[in-house]
Amino acid sequence: MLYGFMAYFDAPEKLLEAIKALKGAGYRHIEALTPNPVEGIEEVLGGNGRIPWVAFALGVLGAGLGLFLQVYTTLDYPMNAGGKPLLGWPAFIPVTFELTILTITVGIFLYLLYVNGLPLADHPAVRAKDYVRVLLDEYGLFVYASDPRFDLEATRALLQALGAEVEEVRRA
Amino acid sequence: MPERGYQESLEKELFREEFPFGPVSRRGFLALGLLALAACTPVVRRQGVPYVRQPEWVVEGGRAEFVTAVPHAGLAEPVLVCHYQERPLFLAPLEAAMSPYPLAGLYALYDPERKGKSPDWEGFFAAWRKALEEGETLLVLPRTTSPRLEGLLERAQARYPNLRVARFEAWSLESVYQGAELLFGQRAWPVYAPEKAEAVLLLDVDLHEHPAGYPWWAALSERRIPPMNRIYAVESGAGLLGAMADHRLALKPSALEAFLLDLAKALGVLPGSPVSDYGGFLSALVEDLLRGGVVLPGVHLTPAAQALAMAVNARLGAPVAYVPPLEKEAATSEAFLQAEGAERLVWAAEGLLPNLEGKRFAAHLGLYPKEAPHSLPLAHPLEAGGQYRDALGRLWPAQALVKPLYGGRSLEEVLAGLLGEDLPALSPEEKRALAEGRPLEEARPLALAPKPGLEGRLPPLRQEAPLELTLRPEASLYDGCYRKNPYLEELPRPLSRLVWDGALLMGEEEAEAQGLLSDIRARERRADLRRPLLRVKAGGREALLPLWPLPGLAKGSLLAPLSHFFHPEGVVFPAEVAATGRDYPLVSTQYHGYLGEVEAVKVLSEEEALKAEPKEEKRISFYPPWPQGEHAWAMSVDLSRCVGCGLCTLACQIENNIPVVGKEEVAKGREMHWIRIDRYFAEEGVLHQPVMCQHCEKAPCEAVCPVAATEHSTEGLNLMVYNRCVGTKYCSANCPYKARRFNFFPYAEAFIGQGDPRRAKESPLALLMNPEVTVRSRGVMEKCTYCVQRIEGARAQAAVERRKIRTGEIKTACQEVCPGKAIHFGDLLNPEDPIQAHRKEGRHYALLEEANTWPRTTYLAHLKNKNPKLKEAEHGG
Amino acid sequence: MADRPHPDRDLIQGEWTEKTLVEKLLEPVEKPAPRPWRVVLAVGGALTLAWLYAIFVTFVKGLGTWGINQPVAWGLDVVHFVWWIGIGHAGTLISAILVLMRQNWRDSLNRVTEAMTFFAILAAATFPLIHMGRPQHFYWVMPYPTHMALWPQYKSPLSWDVLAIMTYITISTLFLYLGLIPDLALLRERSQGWRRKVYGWLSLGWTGNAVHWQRYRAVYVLLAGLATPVVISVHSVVSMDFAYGLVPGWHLTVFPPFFAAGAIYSGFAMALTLIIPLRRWYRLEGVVTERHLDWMAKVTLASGLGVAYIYLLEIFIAWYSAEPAEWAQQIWRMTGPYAPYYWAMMLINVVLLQTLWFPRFRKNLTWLFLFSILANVGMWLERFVIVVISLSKDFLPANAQLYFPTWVDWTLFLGTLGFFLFGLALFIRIFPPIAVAEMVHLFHKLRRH
Repeated sequence: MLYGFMAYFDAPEKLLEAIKALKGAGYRHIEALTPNPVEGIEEVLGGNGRIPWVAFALGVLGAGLGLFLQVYTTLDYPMNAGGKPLLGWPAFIPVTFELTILTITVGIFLYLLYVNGLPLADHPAVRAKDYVRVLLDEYGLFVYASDPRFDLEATRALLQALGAEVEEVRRA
Repeated sequence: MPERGYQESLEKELFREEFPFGPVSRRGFLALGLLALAACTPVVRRQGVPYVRQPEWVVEGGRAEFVTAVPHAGLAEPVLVCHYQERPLFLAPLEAAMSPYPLAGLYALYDPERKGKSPDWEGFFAAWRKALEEGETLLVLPRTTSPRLEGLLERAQARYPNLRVARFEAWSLESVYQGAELLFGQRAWPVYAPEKAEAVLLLDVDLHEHPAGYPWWAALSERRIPPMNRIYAVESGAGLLGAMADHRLALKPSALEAFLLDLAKALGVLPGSPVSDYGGFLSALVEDLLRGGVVLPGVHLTPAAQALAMAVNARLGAPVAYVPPLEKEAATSEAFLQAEGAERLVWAAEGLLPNLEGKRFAAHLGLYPKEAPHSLPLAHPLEAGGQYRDALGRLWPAQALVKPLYGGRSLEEVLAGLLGEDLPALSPEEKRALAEGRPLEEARPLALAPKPGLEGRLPPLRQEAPLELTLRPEASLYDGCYRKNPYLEELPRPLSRLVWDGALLMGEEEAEAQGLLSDIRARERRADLRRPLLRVKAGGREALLPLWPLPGLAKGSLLAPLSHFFHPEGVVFPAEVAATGRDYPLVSTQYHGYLGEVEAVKVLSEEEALKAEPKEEKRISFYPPWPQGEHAWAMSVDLSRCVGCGLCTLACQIENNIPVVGKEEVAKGREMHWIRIDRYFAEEGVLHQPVMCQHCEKAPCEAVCPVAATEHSTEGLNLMVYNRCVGTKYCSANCPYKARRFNFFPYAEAFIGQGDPRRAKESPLALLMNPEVTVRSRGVMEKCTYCVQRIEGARAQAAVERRKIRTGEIKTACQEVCPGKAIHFGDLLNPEDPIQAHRKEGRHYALLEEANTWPRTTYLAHLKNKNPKLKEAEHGG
Repeated sequence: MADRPHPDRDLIQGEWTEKTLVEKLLEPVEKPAPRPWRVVLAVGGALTLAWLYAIFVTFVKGLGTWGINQPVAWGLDVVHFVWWIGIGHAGTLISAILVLMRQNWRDSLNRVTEAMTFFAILAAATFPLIHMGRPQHFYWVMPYPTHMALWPQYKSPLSWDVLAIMTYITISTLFLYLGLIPDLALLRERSQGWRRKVYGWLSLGWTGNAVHWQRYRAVYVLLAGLATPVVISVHSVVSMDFAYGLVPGWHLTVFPPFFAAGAIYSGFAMALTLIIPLRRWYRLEGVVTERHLDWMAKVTLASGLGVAYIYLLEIFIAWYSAEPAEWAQQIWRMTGPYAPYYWAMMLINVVLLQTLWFPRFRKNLTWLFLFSILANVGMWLERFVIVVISLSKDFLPANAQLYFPTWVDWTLFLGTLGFFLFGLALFIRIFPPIAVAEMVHLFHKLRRH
């Protein structure tokens, strides 16, 4: 069974042009696989995860959690510890700060996994024999066979015209 | 609940029925109320009989207080025994003061070490009678002052002509009796009233070295606040009383007696004029004594010195009365030689034991079993009745407070057993005295006048020697009889703060002359505990003792504890010391004794104290105050009245179930005493400061506990919640007074289990623990609680009786036993409480005020009343 | 395409292609381990066992087996806690702060230092747990509804510590893991059988999807940005354990920056201690160049100068405050029984530190290695001075008492060292000690110019 084509480019600019070209040609079901982040991917492929906004929301949640924790526990069983005022806010800063950071950290990590769909048990591109090259030095473009525009020869020709090495990826 | 008046009438009715000899004082009532229970018991060995008509307010198994007299070295200490759950758990002085020994003796009461083989009294009596038939049998008794015992002895000697009696006491009073005989022609015992004197000369005497030492301090401390007396001390030792003196002269024993001779000459008691003025000391002293002074001599001075002192007192018109000798036959240390030589011996004295081998009949009677052909248990003083004379010559009755736990019998019972008699029960007079808390017999003063011509009769004084050794009773172990008492073993000794060992004390000058000081200083610096072990030879006997240099001892004066070096022929000897090349580790609880720039103990003169304005305590905070509860507990410690005796430490330990941790742990700095006495060597002299948890209103310890195990109550107590403590020890690190104590090991269980925590469950020492105070487990922090159990007990009692807590109703354990009444616990919100006056005094201050902790425990500065004519506090010999 | 070579061109030295570079970087994982590695693993393992035994003794017998007493209630346990936490900070600094500062030389160092941080924090975290008198109740510092209706006391720095350490270890672990994911994917692709499965699970199925990469990069930079204040705050909170107290020698507001500077100093020193031998044993001189070491030495110098300055400042503050107890503490440190420790600390951290000014010393790898060890000894001594010497004599002279650690105290320390080395040795055998994906990316960046 044919999963799709894996196209190997040797430069990120070529990859970006290829994506633009394919998008222009109407291909939708494509993925770029690269060894490192590539500038400009979002414009062509989208996928803005809105990480900063999520982090901000998590931060507010964390700070609220920290303050709530301390204020509630202090008021629930009020005690005189060292003659200090019951709700002395300077003393509450460290825990609030740390909880904010902790919430953002854990939250954003889990959000990253969620929004990326990880953990991922399997992916057709991994079956490409030379797949490891996209983790090293080459920039890959995977065109799904399930894409409506997919055509065995036309797609391959297009990709090769864009300067890629093309590999068929089949189930072994 | 009945009102007070109704209660009183109920009391009266009870008395009319149960005790048909008239009304009794309120003071004795409570004791009387439960006396019915005790009076039926041990002396006659009947079962306790519960009330036929139990007063409503009496709770069986609850707290009760009884009066009894506990003997120490044969002399009575009248005490109030706190009984809880049918067993004695605490002792407080009935009168002005008591020594630590009866209180610490509670340990011996429950000590399973006392358990020997099951005592076969009848077998012993049979063997004894047989020995008495065979030949001379020596009975060696400790000091006894009981007329009843003397009566039994007379009858026994009448029945058994072979019965010889000797009295043994390592620290004897014989010198005093002989001194009186020299001066007055009659043996007598002086009774002093130092509170009436304007100037006091302490002549080589310390608190525990004189039977009246603690009551003396109680009297003297009344005059250590304005209007002050002036205390001079001339001593060969380094004692607590001497440390409190305004002027102190350290002299060797021979020089001391020469000084006394000079003093007598200066006062005209003897012809001639003084050889030396001792740097102005003597003339200043004479001037002050003539204003109304008294000389308080130690009991070990030679009879000549005793006579001189008594003559001086007579010349001064000092407040001293003379009573007949306390003992019928003086107990001396020579009895030891008699015992060693006797073929048939019954040894009933504590502390030392002669060699019993090779004797035809040898028996040992004592608290603890020993290796002997016959070893039988004597009853603990709380287990048996008796009669004892106190240091003032009064006769006190004693009652048993618990049935003998290990089958012991009192000396009176032993003699009665020898005679085949039964001891009578408490007589009505004794019962009444116990109920009223007064002696059975008052002292009978003798009318004595000094016989003239003393200078002709005076025996020669002590000879000088380069090194003069005085064998003195050890502050904790006395003459060794308390060696098995861990409370006393771990009580830090005066000035040296040593624990668990006896040391040879030597002045710094002398130690340097011996070439030992620099090495010791180097070891101190690196906290090396080993000290050189010296061979001390005196009077033909020798002992190995480790050396501890102590500031303030005269050159050539050595001190050794009687518990570690006993000589049957006396207590002062010319001595030789030689290094053995070996070392011995000595453990002290305080190594740094100099104040530096920290003004922990403030010293003021009397005028400064009177002129000083009460300082407004600096309270700097931008926090709002916390709400105040019904009371504001606080404590004040008067450093002018604290003599550093350590009774507070001991009382706190017993009241609060504080364990003894042993020498090794104390060496690491882990002693568990909640209140400690810091001792500083300053130019004014030796300063003592009891330090316990200050219950700071801005407690640095509370703020740092992560689990809220220590918090502040609305009444001002810093509460320690044992069951919440996880043991991070941050509170201990943050306490500037270092008042907190941590259970690094399961100390309490180990203490109860005699070293093995796993044996704690079956140990009788668990009975020693106060059930109102938690016994702390391993890993938990503890500290002074202002005796919160007593506060809560008083609060509960007041609630039951529908009244407020009265002024002075709550006494902390340390306050109760302090001989100088230095500690006062009170309520700042109570306008009648004396603590208000303390806080307004000019000499009032808080310890480490700059730390801004706002402590509730505050101090009153130490006052010195120096003679303006004398520049320095101490003079050389 | 730029005309001139990239200024950081010499960060990767030697003739490389991507393939050869990756082969080299994955050698520690894929090739048999060199001899020194085995020695480190064995020694580390043995010390770890000794450590476990010492913990067992502590739990069974009690804290009395340690040397702590009254007044020195905090001894080597807290010294080591602070020492390890401080060491951990270099990893976070290299990973996080240098990313934000766009310093390329961190790329070959960050994996090892992050791993170092991970194990250092683990080692550090054991000390607060075992130093409790009743460790079975350790969870009482957590806020959960208890049967006593009590909550932790949040005004206490130890409560702050709980959160700070938890946050620190979480962010360090996640940051380390996040950076590892692409490398794990690479290892997954290069292995077969059970290894492939394990790396597959660990890599969470990372495919290298470019869109994923964008989000990954955003989170990475975000975490770096979060880790930066964490570095400062965690050690500040740890320093507050002392600054919050009124013990003379502790009660200084300068403690948070003092500890932060000290942490960076000791962390970089430990990083040097690890990296210099590592690069020799695995022949990584091409990617961890002398320039890298030079930079690390410079950071060590800079932070060390901060530390040295604050030592002198402490003395000045104590004198200027005219507080008898504060000045007495300084005199006690300088002339008391522990004076040798104080002066050794000064010698290392103030005097010997100055050698790092000179390139001659910085470039001498033997001296650099030696000094890095000495610097950590110096920082150990500093924590000893702060914790033990300050407690041994504080306000009242009567309380002064010395502290003598026992074999249990020392075994616990050497044991954590062993655990640290053991953990690191295992780590570099399973995960690449140098971040492969980042290095390849750097390689591209440098070569493209």
